[in-house]
Amino acid sequence: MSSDSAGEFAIETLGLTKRFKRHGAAVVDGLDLRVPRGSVYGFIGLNGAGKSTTIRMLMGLLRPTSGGCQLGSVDPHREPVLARRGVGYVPDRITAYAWMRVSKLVGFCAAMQPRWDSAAVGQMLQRARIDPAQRVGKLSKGTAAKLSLILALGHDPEILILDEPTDGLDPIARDEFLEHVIGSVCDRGRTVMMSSHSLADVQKMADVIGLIHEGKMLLQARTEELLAGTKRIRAVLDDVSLSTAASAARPSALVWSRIEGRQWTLTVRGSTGESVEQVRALGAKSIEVQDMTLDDIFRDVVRGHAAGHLETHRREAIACS
Amino acid sequence: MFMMLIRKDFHLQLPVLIASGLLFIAPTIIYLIIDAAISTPTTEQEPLILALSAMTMIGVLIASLTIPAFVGVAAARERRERSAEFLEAMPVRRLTIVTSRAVVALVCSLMPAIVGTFAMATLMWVESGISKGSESGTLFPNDAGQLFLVGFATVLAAAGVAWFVGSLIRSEVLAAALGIGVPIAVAMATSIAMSRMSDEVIYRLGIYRDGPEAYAFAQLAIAIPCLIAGTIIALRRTSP
Amino acid sequence: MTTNPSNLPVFQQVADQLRQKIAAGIFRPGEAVPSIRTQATALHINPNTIKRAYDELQMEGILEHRPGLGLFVTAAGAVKANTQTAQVLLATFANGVRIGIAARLSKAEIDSAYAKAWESLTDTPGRAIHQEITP
Repeated sequence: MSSDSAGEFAIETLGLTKRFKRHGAAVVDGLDLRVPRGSVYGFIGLNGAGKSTTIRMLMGLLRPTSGGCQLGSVDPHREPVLARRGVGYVPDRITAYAWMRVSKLVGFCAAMQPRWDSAAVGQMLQRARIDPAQRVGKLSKGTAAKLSLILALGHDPEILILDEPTDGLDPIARDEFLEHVIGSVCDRGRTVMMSSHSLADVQKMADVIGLIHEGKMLLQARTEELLAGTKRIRAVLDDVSLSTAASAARPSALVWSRIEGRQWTLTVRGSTGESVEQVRALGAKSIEVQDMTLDDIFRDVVRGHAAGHLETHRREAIACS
Repeated sequence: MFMMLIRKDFHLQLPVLIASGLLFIAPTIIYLIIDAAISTPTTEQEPLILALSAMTMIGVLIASLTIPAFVGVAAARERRERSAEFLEAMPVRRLTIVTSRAVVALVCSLMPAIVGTFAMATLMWVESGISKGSESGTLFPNDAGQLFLVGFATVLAAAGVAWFVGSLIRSEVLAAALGIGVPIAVAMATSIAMSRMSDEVIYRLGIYRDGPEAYAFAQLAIAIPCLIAGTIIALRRTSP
Repeated sequence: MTTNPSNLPVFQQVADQLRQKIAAGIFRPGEAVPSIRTQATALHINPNTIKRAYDELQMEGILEHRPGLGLFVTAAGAVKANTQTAQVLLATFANGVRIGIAARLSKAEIDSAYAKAWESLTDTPGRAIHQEITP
């Protein structure tokens, strides 16, 4: 891992592993995560894939079983206090003292941080229409989320880590929250690492995507490259080619494929042209290539991984009459 | 920064502080009034004095039970309410966080400890005044120092058990309950052990059969490991 | 290789949308377009993506950068936007034709569908339909 202060990656992990029981399954398994400095990193995965565990290890809240990580070129396990000074952390639900008033909580956080911009925080609270006299426990989910973000930005950190921040927020609250996040990125060159289930948002906001599944990093790529390089191929087969397609060699860049009636749908990544040729060679007619959304890609990657890159022969009834 | 943590920890102890205060008020005030009104008790007033002394003792004892409650809150409350996670994500050393909790628990415990000691001392003074007139022997041994040693060791054991349990389990109530129960159990166990041991063993151990040393040692044997273990766990463990 | 328009890269969608707005006269030559920050926060899109879209429009000569002031529609911007929009239209029409071919429609049937579409939209003159990126 790079150890120079102006490293290429703001956040890095190397072989990060976490096992909760000595011989149990690894919740995070040899993760190599790299967040380029100044980028917005979308950390996506199913529930229980290991996103929160990874983030907690990055924050120094959980000790890894093996492997290491760096936060702004500081090891959060050797120097937790120093590492946290440069990071703003927004957990998935607000855990601050419910009995404190907002103003008191802000004062508390200000006292804990060596650097704090009270004026900026006050402005952000005003813009977000948060009542400083309100008790933290009585805030709505959306307001609490915005407050968490404001508190995380109070010490103007270089890195912002958000753990499923829009989970459970209503659409308006979600919009407002994301506006604040983007705003903070525009204000200064911040590195943002955001884990989220909202793939539509991640597609729009992230520069780099990291897909974690069962503790392993299945893919890590720039959003643009991923979206441009992953295509869905739909081919219509006749009954003859159907049987050959079933047993023939798979296109090498295959992510996921299935057969439905006479339609063969496959998702390929990289070398799309070659894959189209291979499909054509297998005797398919009327080949169509489509772009995919991040949501589509995510589902197919996860399903493809589960199926071990094997084709599922689901010959659905051609006519359901 | 440390003062901010101290203020936060005092706020967390408020419910127990209030309970502790209330438990003290009734018996202590009554006792002090009686004490002021009657300087040398007559033989008719003896039973009244003794009854009131008993009440005060009970009040003091109950109030002392809040000491493990203070410690339990310090160890477990924030982890139960999940605010420990919030604090742990801050750029503050664990040692600072744990020290603040321990200091506040200690200061809060001083109130019942001091008032309890004062009440006990006054009680002993009253009792010695009564017993000068009677020949039935004294309630308390002459050596007040040893009595206080046992009392202190017991309180330390109570605090230690509450601290240790509170660092493992997210329940200040359970921590306090065990902090009350375990020292009592230890005292009873010591009593049974003493009555069963032969004179020879007792002589070799260098203690008196009816003396307070055995009790003090037994309580300290619980207190010290619990305090150490609890502190280590509090410093190293992170919330799930 | 044909593509489904709604799955275009985000920067492309942003560029197309702004181009269409300029062609429609929503932003006139000489007027400022929303800043990158405003667009990014309103649509929850990465500012780099917005910048890329704006860069493309600058390269096409539709927008120009005035130092210290921001981005403005050029004098010829509206005309250029019209031309560019015609290109985008090609992809949309191609998509429609593709659907027709896949459903084994004849050219005559596809042409008639186009004519019907034109009729339905132009019977009330000036009514335009925008397909926008929703935040």
